[in-house]
Amino acid sequence: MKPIVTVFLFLFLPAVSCMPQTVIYGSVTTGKGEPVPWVNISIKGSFDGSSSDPKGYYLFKTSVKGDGVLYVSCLGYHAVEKEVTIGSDSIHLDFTLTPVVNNISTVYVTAGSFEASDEKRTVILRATDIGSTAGALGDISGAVSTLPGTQVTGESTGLFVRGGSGNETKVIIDEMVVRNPYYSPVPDIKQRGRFDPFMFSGTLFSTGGYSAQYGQALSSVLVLKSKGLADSTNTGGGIHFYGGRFFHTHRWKETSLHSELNYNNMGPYHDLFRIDRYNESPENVSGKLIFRQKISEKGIVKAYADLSATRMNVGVEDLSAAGKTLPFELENSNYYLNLSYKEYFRDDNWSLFAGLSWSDDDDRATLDSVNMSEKERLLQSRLILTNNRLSWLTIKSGIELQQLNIDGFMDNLSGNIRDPFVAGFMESDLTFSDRIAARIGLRYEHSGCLERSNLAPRISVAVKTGQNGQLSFATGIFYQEPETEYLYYGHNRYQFEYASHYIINYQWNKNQRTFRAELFNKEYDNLVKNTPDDAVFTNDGSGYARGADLFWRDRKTIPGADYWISYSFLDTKRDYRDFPVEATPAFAAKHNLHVVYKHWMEFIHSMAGFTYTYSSGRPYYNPLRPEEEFHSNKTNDYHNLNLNLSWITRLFRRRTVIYLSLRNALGRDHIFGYNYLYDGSSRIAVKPVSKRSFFLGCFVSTY
Amino acid sequence: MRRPVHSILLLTIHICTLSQTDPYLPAMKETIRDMNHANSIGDYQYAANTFERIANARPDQWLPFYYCSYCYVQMSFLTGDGNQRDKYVGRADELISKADTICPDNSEIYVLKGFILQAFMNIEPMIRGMKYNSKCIEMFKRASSLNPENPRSYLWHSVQLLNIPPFMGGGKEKALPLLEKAIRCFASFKPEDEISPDWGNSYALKKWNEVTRSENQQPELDLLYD
Repeated sequence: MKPIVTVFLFLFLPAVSCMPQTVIYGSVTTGKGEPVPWVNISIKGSFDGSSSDPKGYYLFKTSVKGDGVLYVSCLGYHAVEKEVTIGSDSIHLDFTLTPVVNNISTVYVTAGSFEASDEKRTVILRATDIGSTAGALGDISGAVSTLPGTQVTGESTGLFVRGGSGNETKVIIDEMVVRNPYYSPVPDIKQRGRFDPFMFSGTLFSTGGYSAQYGQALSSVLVLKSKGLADSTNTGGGIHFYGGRFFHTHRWKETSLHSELNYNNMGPYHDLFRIDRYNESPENVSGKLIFRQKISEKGIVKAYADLSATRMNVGVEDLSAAGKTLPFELENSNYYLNLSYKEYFRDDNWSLFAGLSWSDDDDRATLDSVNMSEKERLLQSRLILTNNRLSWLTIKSGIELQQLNIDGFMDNLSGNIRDPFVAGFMESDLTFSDRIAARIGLRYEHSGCLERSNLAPRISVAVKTGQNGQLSFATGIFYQEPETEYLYYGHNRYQFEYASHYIINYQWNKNQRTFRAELFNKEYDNLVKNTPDDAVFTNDGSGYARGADLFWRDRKTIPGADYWISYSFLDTKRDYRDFPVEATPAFAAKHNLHVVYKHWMEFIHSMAGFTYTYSSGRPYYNPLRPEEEFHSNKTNDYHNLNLNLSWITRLFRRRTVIYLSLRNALGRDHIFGYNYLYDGSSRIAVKPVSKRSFFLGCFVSTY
Repeated sequence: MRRPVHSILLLTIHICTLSQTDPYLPAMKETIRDMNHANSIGDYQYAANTFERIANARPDQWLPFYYCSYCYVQMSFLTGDGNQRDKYVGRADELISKADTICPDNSEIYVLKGFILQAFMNIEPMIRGMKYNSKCIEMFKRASSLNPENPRSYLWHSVQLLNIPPFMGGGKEKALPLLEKAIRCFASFKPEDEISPDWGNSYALKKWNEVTRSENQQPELDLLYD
């Protein structure tokens, strides 16, 4: 008996615990039949499994028996699960994997937009490019205006995009429109932006055909996304030719607070270089607070507050008598507050954004002691809900409420604008495959001041043409309220100004080289038209802008160097405002060219760069000419060379950047147009404040 | 007659109990050996896949996630394609976060977090270097404070200082004492068990030779041979 038991045990025991293994094998391919190597194939809950070989085949043995789940995963592809019943027979299973779309090498909509970001690799510009472009002097609009589609302006503030005026571009920070993104306008002197480029982690500059998320801009939007939590505690400051700056950033675990004080005074500089255009040089003091609080794994609250006061007195040419100037005195105070909340929910499938902003801008200005003051207050709120539960579809919808109040004074007259404004939008991003993507959106707006509504559809499509190239197309309808100077003349008398955009874009991207070409056509309609004498205003104006943009950037060919070349051709005419005939506006030049070059020199720890800008002559108004020849005179061509050098070193054992820059290194005469005396006896050229300008600054920070 | 049967029986039972013991340890040991012999993306991916399978079957263990993450960082150094490198580093980061949730405040995990940041910066040093350098050094400092005996935290801290020029707060003078400290720590370092992290010693010596030999050369971050 005993031996039998032993024999029985000998035979049976191993059979129970050391059962024969089952073979599972097969292949893994993409939808197109290409093999996928190094795919991980496993039986869930066990160690058994294998990787596919370079030809996509796999084979492994398992001692798992019964019902199980095969889990197939690979970086860059969607994981696949399959239920199997494992018996004693070998199992043959083939898998097809679909690539994760919307990642780096797939298609994305580019028509009409330039994006700068440090987070994505697909973008053309990096956030750091904005701070390091010669001539931009850390001004966002200065750097953006080296991109194609923009117009060189030395006398008017704002971004002039594809035949549009500065007023047709809106600046958006964290989804909310900024009413006064630039310092207050001064006759014939371009003003800088109020915002520091280092505040932002991403910039999207649209030259047309932009998303339904934004409105009230006939030509373009500049969308800025502020940074999240500060990286670390940091203290720093700097002094430069025009003033100084001090900041402290404190970082706690889930919170950061940045406070900053700036003081600028152009006086010493103007004295040194004997610049006499100002009776009192501009002086500005400003303070900033930036607060960030992480409220959950994927939720953040942001608050930004900016207070600033500016004062100046500048001589403006008196057009009633030659050689005389009138004092233009300006005192401005500006408060800006931006609060926002963003959080992702349910495995990132949903996200909610809520924002509130308040701006209060008070210009107290006099021209030759005539009061020309203006007070603007804008309150706005925004709510956006995004769903991207499906990998190929993102749906975004939002509402927007604004109340704009403007009180203006002109001598003894006063006027006001009260504009409650409501907008809503819905937009979906569709990725049909890794070759075709589209964005379809619709925007509704209602203006209380105009007592009118509009509906604006926007569509863009992108198709990948090869490994590195893609073709995009964008079109849409854009509305904007007439400029405030017209709105004073009464509510309920205007329509929205209208523009439609058609853009075709080709982009090629390989090995840190980018080529872009874009053709555009923009039709304007319902522009405000007036007759100067009897002040009759209609929406009968119209116009067009068409042309082509080219862009080439190369960060590879020359080691240590990075350059881009952008060229724009523009053909535009309008019949609007007080134009007697259809003509090219004074701000539009036919050809614009920018060459931006930056070179990192390791041996002296310096970045040297130049920006060369060419712009063909711009039309100006000559009252001596007959009306049919309105704007037929043109200024001389514009050539400008800016140089800059930033030297990174250590002072007081701290990271230090010494920054040097020179505008108009070649000393060319820059004339942006002419103002004629009322009697036509002579004319005065509109020129920059000084022929050349020079900047030297030193900035220290703890890291 | 009885004895042989008995011994056969015992042997059988022995074999069977062996096969029933936890396969975790032998599987880890074998895969760590594979990983240490890897020298191509395919080898590392193969090891990473095995670690991932172990990790999925034993989600209470941090080491499989840790080693899997390590394999992905190594892969990022073995390709020239920036997009692909970003993917590898991104995957490494996901995996180390999982390890961190399983075993918080672990010195080795913070070393690897810093190493991942180094790999990330290395893809676009000009753009990312300035931004992530301080964060990276923070990781190594945290790792040293969690375990002052961990040689890897000093090693990678010194490597990071060698990667950045003196005018940015790095440089050989600052790096060398840390590197020497790493070598001293390696000499006395005893891993907790057979599968705990125990890498970097030969790289530290290689780096030390390199730094002390060449006078005027800024060494670059290169592959880890271990």
